[in-house]
Amino acid sequence: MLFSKWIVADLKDYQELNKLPVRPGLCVEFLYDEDSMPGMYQHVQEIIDPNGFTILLSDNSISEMNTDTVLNSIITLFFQPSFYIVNKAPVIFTTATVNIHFNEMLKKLKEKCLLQGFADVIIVQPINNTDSQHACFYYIDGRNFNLNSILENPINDYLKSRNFFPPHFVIFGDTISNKLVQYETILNQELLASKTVNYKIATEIYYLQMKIQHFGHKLSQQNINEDNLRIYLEIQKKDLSKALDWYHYEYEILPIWYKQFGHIVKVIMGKRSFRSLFSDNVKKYKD
Amino acid sequence: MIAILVHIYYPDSWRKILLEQLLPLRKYQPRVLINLCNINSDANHLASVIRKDFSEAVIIITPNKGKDIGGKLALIDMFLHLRIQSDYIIMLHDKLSPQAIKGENWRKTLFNIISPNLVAGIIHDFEKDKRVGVIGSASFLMNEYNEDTHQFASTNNKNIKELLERYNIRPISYSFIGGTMFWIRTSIVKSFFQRIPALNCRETLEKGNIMDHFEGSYTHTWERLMCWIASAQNYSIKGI
Repeated sequence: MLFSKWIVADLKDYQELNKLPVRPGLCVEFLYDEDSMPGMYQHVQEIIDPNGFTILLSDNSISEMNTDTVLNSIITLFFQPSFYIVNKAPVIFTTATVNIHFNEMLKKLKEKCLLQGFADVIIVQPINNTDSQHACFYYIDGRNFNLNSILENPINDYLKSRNFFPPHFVIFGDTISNKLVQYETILNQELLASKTVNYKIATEIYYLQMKIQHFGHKLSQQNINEDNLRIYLEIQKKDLSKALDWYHYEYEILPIWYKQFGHIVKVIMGKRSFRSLFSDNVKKYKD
Repeated sequence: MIAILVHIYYPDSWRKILLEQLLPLRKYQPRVLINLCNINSDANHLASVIRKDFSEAVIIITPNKGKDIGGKLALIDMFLHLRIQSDYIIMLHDKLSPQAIKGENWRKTLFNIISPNLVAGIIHDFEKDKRVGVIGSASFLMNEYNEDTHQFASTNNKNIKELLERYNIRPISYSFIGGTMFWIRTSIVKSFFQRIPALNCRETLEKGNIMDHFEGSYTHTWERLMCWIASAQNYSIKGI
């Protein structure tokens, strides 16, 4: 399926989603509570799908994001194997009001993520709140979408910038059963839309982009390996040169008669065979 | 109760090296926490393989920052978040050291600390002497500090001094276990990293496969600090 679909729910609802043949992602509203965090980490360890869950930052979440502890606890979620990561950047959703505090908090989170080695943090906002077609989502509220026309913008963007961002659909609602009904509706709508030309083109573009990303990743891995081998070679050269210097100063500079006498001592000590003193064709050392 | 923190960089090292070493430890019912490096595109597949062998393992996937030290700091962060109860933590990683001719030998020596015939003795050593904070391989017990010059005989000298100051670490001895594979009392780890969050320490580490042969690094400085946090709490480092 081309559209990524997310259900905003509690972690305990994951078992319900897990029963579905085509699973949506789980989007958990992030509300920091020191005592409930251990349970949250334990729960997300049970999510088996890669890219199976993400977090939603609401106004309440943002108001709590004012300490290092809270930001770090979000980053720990990004380390979970099932967290939604695209191109080495965690992807999170937000419905929070965009204001100075919001921008400041997200800037801080982004800075901390870069310091932890992530490529970026992608913030996905409601389509009406953002000019960015790249990271937006549609609220699912029971109405019908014209999915064919929704795809026009991402396709046009791709033609201009060679970047394709399929839109996300986020399902809110009061009960999990209600959300599952809405999920089924959007799933059916997508099945119908999949017969349209736009959908087919978008799917082609999407998989092409995935392939390019995959090969890009392979290439960067190769480059890393090549750099590593170069460093290893340099270190081994340095170590070898050290060993040769040591050999030179400890042994090579001794007079030849002393070295020859040393070989006789080796024979007496049983470390070298007697016959090897006169012939190169016999076994020299025991081991 | 034991917790084992394992950093895995090479995807094939789980089955080739680590699994065989960890299986005999099962009888101690350890909590196993594993960090996989996100440089491998199939880290998620590896996570599912590990869960087949150790179904209760806690697994995280992190960017390649600070080599095994970065992985271990992320694992300490996870360990503290989960509030796991344990008396000792064993730090391990898939040390292949491809740059070193003796790499395999190093790994074997370092892994002795989980050899089935030594584990009971190590626990006994900890119980017998409450001042022992860290136990690792004696062959890797090092001290680079020169008391006359107050310098460390290491490319990391400058970084060491900077981080000791920054984190206010005052070790009673500068001995450490090179290779960062050892047993450490959980109370030492908790006490230090509850004061200074492990992820904050991880932020300063270098990206990628950093080496300290030519110049110092924060990553290799942390290799030493991991033991000095024990020494600074008046514990000793023991080699076996």
